[in-house]
Amino acid sequence: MSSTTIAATGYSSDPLRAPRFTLPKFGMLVFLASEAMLFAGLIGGYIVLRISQGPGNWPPPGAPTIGVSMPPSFLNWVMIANTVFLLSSSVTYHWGESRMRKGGSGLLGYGLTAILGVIFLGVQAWEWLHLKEEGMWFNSFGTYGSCFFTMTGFHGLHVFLGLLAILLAVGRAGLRQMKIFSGQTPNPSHTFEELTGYYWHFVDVVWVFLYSILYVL
Amino acid sequence: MSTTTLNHSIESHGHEHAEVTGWRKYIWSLDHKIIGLQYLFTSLGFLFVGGGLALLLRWQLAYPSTQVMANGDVGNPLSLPFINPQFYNSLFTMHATVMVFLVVMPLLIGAFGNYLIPLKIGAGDMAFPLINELSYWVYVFSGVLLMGSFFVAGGAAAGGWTSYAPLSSVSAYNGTQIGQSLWCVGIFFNGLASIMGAFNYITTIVNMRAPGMGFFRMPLAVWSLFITAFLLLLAVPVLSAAAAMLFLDLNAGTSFFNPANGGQPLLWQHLFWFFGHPEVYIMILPAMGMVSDILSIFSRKPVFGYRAMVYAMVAIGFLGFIVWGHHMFVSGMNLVLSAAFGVSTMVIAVPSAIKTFNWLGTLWGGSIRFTTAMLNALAFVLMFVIGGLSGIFMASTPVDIFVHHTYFIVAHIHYVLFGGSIFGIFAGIYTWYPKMFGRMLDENLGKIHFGLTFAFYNLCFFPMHNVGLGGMMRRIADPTAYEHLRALQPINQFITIAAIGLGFSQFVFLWNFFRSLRHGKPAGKNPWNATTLEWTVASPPGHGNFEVTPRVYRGAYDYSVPGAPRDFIMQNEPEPSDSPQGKVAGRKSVTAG
Repeated sequence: MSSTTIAATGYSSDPLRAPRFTLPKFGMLVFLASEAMLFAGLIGGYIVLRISQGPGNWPPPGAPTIGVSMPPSFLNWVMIANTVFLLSSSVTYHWGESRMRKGGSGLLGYGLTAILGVIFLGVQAWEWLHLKEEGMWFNSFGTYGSCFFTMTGFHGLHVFLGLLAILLAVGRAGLRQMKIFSGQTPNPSHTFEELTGYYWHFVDVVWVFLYSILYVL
Repeated sequence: MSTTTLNHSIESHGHEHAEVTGWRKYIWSLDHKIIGLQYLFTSLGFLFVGGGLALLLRWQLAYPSTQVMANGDVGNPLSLPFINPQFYNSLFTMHATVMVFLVVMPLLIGAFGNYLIPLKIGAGDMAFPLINELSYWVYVFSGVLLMGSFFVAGGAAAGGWTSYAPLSSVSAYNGTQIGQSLWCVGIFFNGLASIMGAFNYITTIVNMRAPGMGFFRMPLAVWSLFITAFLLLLAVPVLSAAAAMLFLDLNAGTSFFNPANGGQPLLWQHLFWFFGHPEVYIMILPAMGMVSDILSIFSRKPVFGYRAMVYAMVAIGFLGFIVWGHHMFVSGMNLVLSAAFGVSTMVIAVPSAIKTFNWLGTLWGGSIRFTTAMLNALAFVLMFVIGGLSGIFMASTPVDIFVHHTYFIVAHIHYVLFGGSIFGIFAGIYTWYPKMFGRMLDENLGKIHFGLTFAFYNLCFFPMHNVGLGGMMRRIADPTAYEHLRALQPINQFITIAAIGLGFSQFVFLWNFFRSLRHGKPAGKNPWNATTLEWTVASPPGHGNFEVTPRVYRGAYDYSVPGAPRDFIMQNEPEPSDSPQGKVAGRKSVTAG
């Protein structure tokens, strides 16, 4: 073989039918199935541990109230707002992507997403510290504390990694905006933004499940 | 080779990578073949580590260092005094951990998966070469963590490879807080490497098959790795979650598995075996796929019931997810639930039997070549049947409750994991070594290696059924401490001697392997007269595998087609337009001189 470089190209057996997903997008979707099973393992464990406590013991007596109560407490409102922030970050991201596809930079959309993501993580950190002050931590209130901090921690770690990718997307959008200002054609590759979008939306959906079981149900 | 030039790549994804040469290629190369060889050499190295651990623990069982002799001395004169009970626990824990996570999985999936998938489907490389290489280094890192745990305070993890809580989750019980924590971290990173491999393989197989390579023209080795990749993808993250919980229980004071604070020790078992049972198939399916191909090549016949083989593997993969409870019959499980798990387990016997009978059907009437590869493949079938049959015992709750904590189950696992997977791996190495290194392995040395391995393997593991039914418990450091086991001690010593023979037989393999790298007969493109695409290119294949994208015209098993000029037709050979034999007639061929 004389070739020194190779192209890993995706070819379907039918040359006339364009593949629905490019390789990176396909790979990301398959990877997210694996991520889903990670959270399925955690949520499955949570369900077992919670049910085994018997009715009325969850949250255990004396533990700070995390669940939504009527009327909602201050902490309730904070976390409702935080959920809205995270969910709207998916909307702003989508908006940035569609601006980008139409030839714009998407800078505003990605920038707003980054800001909302930082707010979400900041509020979550505040919540953790607030709960710690009230005596709830990984090692207190039995499995109640274990589950809450481990699950929100795993999710927060995913948000953090997604946020790093979004900051990169903001940087790329900034470069694109500069090219647009100077009359050049921006970089036509949107793969990075699309992959980040898949991941970010996935992390949002996971939060919907976590919020439901940790705060509402 | 009549390769039709059809280079209609629809879009390039910018994955072009240059060839890395010299020693650097073994660190930085993104070529799937180099990564496959990295996996091969690393995991063969770990095979000897894991084997060494096994010999140490076998030695302790035959000549316990804790035994009280007739003259009042403590310690058998032949014993190794450094093996105390805690170290013995580390030995069997790490023997299994190393063999499962650092040897069999990386050999089957890392080495053969990487090497064979792109070559067999006609692709230039994996879909994500960088992630592929990253997966190898993460695997190495996990190996370093697990090996390093021998040198921390308290020694390596000692709670068994299953790490049942609360034995594993309370450091006062397992005696090694750091070792057990490192085990969790090592398993977490090992899982990360597996997941990176899994989505890479799935993406590659779905999207990068050469034109004409429909799903049902793929060789069974590729099918088996495809199904295995799904099992890895969906089962491994659950173990990762469990390992993270265990790590937090040990180090952050959480109480997931701590009953004193409302935790559930059984939760660990459920999470572990939800991973653990698919894991069983992760470790046997690729060997099944490779053996199917090898039996076909060396009996010069198409695989009997190709589609049934595929569907049987899909069924095994699916059923593998709903039978995990059969590992937990002795956990005090509800009897109705255990009956349900028992029945679903026995259902797996159906696809397994389909595969076994199809292997026999493939051999039936074939002109069998008893190469070393073929002998190993035949041993795979035979040993897998024995292991499968002893598995039925365990699927039945009343029998399982009797034998579960005995050596019977140790015999069973080794019949499927060594007799199955390792013989499958040897069959694969003897078959594809010529493709990997361009030279043939020595057949005589190969047959000596096979004969010794097969004999010592059975001498070592078959008597374990007997000591198990005789009541010998698993995971005990000194069988002579128990009145009812003293009569079995000669068998234990016999097993140990056979194990040593088994271990030393592998040096024949090592000698053959490294000698043939330089002195083996040149292999040529297609030493076995096989049909699949990897045999259409040079041995070893160049960077990028195929100079032009191959076009596939037929299934993977056109051996002994009536009317064909040779007894094999390669997948990229077009249908001869002047042949009187149509395609349908060709499929019916079964025999050849």
